Amino acid sequence: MDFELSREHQALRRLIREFAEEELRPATRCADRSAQPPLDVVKKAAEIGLFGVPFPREYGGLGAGETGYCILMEEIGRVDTSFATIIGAHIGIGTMAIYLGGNKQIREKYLPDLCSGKKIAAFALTEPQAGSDAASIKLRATKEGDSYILDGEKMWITNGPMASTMSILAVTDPALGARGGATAFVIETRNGDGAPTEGFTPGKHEHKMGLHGSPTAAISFDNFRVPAENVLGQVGLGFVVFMQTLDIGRVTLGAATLGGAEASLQQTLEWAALREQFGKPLALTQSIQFMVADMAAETEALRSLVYRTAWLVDNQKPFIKEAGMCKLLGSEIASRCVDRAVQVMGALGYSRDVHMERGFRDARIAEIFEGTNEIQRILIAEQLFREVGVRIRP
Amino acid sequence: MKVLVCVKQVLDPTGLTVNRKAEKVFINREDFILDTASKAALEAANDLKRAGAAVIAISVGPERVEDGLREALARGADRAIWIRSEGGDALVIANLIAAAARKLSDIDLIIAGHQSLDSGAGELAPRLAEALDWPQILGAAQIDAGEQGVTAIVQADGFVQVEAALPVVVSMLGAAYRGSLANGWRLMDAYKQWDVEAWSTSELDLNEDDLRPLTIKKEDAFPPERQLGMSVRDVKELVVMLKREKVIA
Repeated sequence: MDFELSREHQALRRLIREFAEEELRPATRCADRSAQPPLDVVKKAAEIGLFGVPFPREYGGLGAGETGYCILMEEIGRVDTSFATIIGAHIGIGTMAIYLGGNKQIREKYLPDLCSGKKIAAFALTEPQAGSDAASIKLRATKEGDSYILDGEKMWITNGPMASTMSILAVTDPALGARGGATAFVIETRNGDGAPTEGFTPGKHEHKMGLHGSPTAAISFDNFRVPAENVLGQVGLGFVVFMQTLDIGRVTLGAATLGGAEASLQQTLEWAALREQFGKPLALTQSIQFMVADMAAETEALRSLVYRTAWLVDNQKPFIKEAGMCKLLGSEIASRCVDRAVQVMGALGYSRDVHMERGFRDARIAEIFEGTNEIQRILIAEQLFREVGVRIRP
Repeated sequence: MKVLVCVKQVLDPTGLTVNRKAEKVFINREDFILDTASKAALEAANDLKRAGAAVIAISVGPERVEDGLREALARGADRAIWIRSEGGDALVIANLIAAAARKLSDIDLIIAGHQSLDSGAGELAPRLAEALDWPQILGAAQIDAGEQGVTAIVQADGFVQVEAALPVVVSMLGAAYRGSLANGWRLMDAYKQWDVEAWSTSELDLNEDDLRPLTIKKEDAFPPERQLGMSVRDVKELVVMLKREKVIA
């Protein structure tokens, strides 16, 4: 058993940490206040290869696998959850669905520009009436000659306003429903000059509690034409492609929350060493010691889970149950850690001038998106009961 | 033009705590990073590479320096040479690198960091120039090199422009680092596709004297803590004190 990362993964971590500290950190406050993604930082991340970390070299990626991708999300997550979300939506779900579901032609056509960050990807699943109940999507794809025509609406699409490539799930056969009647497509939503393609309308940016630096929007399609060759996987089996994509995305979402938990712990330690009350540093107060000990214990457990699950993925072993656990535990641990950090920092933790407040707002979403934690518990239970021969879902 | 860049790894300073009372340096996380001045040297070499120069990175030390050299490849070096040696003082390191430069035979320019984050002694470049009997330009903020030689802006009582004919040794200021990052694709290639050439000291034309350090490093030690003066609230208090000490009447 070896718990040491490979030397190239350690080198990748050094590179990403330097990027996160030197390029990203100075841009985070402005992105949060202005609710605009830091596009110049996006460009720099793209230039050094960060938009293609897990994908094979033959498609323009770094070939660093799920482990490399977890390192990316952990290091970015330490500094800015919004930026981790931009990257997560691009790599972990938007591009991942194209990689998992696409044939050789589709991969060769789309992946190089996505891995180099020349194009930004999004993943379009959620609809107004289909959140946790993803199987009840209605966006319609009607076959017309060699094309499909998309009509309908998607909601809460991360990167939606700036993405030029999307993986999208649409209903091709309403009679069969999502399982058997839904098909995944790769679509181009912006032209070379950045204008929306015909039939595509990006909606207004959503006003969110946190993640201000990560743009989210509703998007709509009206008579939007997709060539039939853009189907990801098989016609009617798109739900499978999308669910497989989400399974992988959960591991790295766990890695991003690990970064958030670590940053909260680090800040708490530094503050507790510095701040004096009752004539001594907070660090000498037992109630504070208990809090940091709990934070550290949970963070360490999460680190083991995340990197072991990444190892399962990279070694083609079953990982669905563990991926759900990464997302479930990670989001709850990060929320608890940042909550304790705010508590230890007192009024300063609540101040908008100190970034713990941003961390607090940003952390909450991880318990909701990419499958709420309640859905994760169902997925984990489903896997557990499957092991004793019981099916708990139709 | 062939450029040799000396790169050095240093312990990541964010992984250290200094306890002055216990007179100890605690290494909480032993992680080596490329020294900032080495990064500046690589940046300067990369600028010359765009004008057609070939860049070779070189480092002396134990196995870990291979990681520093692979990062140098990711930062644009075409070739990396690792001299396997436990090193010694700056004289030994300079003799080893000078011997490697002679072995490579057609090096026009050697760029090193001016002062590293750890020791900051600034000895390597002048000792290299001495060992090779080349001119030296120390503390460069910017360099430009062509067939004629090197033109540099160096820090010396403000900044001055200095010129020297090739071959020459230049040391780059850490402050000159513009913050360019390693390239991710090159970093992966540096580990999976490219080799770091390992040279042993026996392959170099050196005698025993060249490898004998002049100085020997012993355990960590701290100079006595400086006694702080006292602060005075206002001029009136100052005058009273000066009178008491009979400095003024």
